[in-house]
Amino acid sequence: MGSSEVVSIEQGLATLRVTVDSERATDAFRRALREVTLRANIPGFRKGKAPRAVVERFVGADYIFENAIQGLVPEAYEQAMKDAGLTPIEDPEFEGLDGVNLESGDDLVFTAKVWVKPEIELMDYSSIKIDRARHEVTAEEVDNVLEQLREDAAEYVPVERSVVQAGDLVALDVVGSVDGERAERLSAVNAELTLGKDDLLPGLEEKIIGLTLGEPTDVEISLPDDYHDSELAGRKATLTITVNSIKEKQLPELNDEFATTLEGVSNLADLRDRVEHNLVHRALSAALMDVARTALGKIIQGSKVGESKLLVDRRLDKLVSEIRRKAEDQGVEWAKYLEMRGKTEEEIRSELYEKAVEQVQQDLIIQEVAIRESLLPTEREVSMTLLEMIGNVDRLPEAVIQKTLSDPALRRSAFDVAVRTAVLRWLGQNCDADPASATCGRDHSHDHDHDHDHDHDHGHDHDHDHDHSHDDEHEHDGEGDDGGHGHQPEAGDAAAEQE
Amino acid sequence: MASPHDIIIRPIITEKSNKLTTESTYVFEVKRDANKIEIAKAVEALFKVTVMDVNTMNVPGKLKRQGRSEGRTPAWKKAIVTLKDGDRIPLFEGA
Repeated sequence: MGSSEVVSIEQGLATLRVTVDSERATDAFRRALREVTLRANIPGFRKGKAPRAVVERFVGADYIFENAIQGLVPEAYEQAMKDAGLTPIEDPEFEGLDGVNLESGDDLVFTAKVWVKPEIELMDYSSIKIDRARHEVTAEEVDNVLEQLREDAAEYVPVERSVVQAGDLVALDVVGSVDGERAERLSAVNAELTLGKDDLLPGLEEKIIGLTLGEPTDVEISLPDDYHDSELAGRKATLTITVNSIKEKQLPELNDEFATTLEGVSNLADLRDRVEHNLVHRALSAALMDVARTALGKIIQGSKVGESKLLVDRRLDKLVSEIRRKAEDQGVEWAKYLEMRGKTEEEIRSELYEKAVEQVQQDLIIQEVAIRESLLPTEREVSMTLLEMIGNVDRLPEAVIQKTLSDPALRRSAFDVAVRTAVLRWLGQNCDADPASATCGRDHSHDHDHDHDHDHDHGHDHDHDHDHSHDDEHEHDGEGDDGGHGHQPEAGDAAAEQE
Repeated sequence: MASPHDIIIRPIITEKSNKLTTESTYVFEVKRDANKIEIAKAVEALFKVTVMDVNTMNVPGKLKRQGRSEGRTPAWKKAIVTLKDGDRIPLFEGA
């Protein structure tokens, strides 16, 4: 056998000196030579019958050497890593292997440089107990949700009224002019707009309110200084507006009939009940999430994580590229963005440094907890998480989905998300000072037509999103559903339910 | 007179010829009209060795057919050269 020593670990980059005994080195070389000889198809010789000199000239001496190294170095390196108790996070780089004569009778000594997982001293978190925020769902909250449901189901209907009021949906012909010249950019034919949504030019809405159907009216407005068309910005314009039609928002009445339009609801009382139940679950998940976050914060504070330049650098790359993508999504070129911020990319990087270090530490601790509590997701769970991350799965062709599912980079990030989700859920359940009270107080065993089961196994929620195609009905689904979602203290889910 | 390189065309390195090298005997393809004396001189000049014996033979081309068309691979001359005991030609040893 050989021996090994850790020369240094600097910022997560470990340097190992590995020694392989001469006997083993020679043996590996002989074995490689024999194998190559048996494999090589050399004209004039039967397989395995060519003399060494001929084989070496035919395949190249390097080839035999490489073969010998392959059977020798990785094994020795892995043994060395095991002996040193290090976990690699990247493929190693080997040095000192060039031009070595394996038959010289000397020990083979080489250097492996490899980024290793930083050492983590996880605090004992079994004693962390956090009081969960209690929340009583009030009748008012239920009313608000019902009101929102009505808003969602609202329709605009034509009215027998000739004067525009706030909140109406109007269709307008607009002829805009600036200094007597017609401005196409300010003109429109039969444009529909809903008043009260704040997406008009400032001051325009007030002027539309009170206009009469069918009567062209001149309206003076001043365009804001930051108007997107720089030629028109800050100038005064005259708009001649003709109202073509007026529609009024009509909310459905809150009664049994309305209730039955929602999926799986039998009457108004049932709807109220379901909404309330759902709110209870939602509050519960939010509270558990808070518990988990607080617990995680404590664990991070109480634990020690070694440095890793590689992980921090990668995180920085990610953070910077996120900023960059955001800027470019808004149509700002990266160079211009940097100019606007008055900074170089380097400066932005160094500003983000602390944040990156923090995130890396957090991720490492989450991973460590996941490993310790065996919360690592299965391949299937990773796929499910990935599908959830893409969203709108039903609208994509199968081939795209397959391709996405097999993309290693996406899978890696889905894996991270899944681990995080699992650990936060686990922390929510296990760091709750009073876990017995973390239920809605109802028995869920009877009311399921979905494939929801409530044994908290990870993944069933994903099935839910995957199986149903009714994106438009999703809100109804969320409310009309029995609240099975609520059992999952997942950040993403909570957000989806807020609709 | 033709140069040694014209006479000695290539070494024949096969399992069989490889075995013969242990008896200081080496096999070459040579120019078709070269005689034993020319071959001996050429080998001595090229490899700085002493030639004891040369055997030659003509190797007939083989009949080859590709569909309907018929053809022959070229015929060539093989020379089996025995050197003085201990003389070696490194060309046959991968050098």
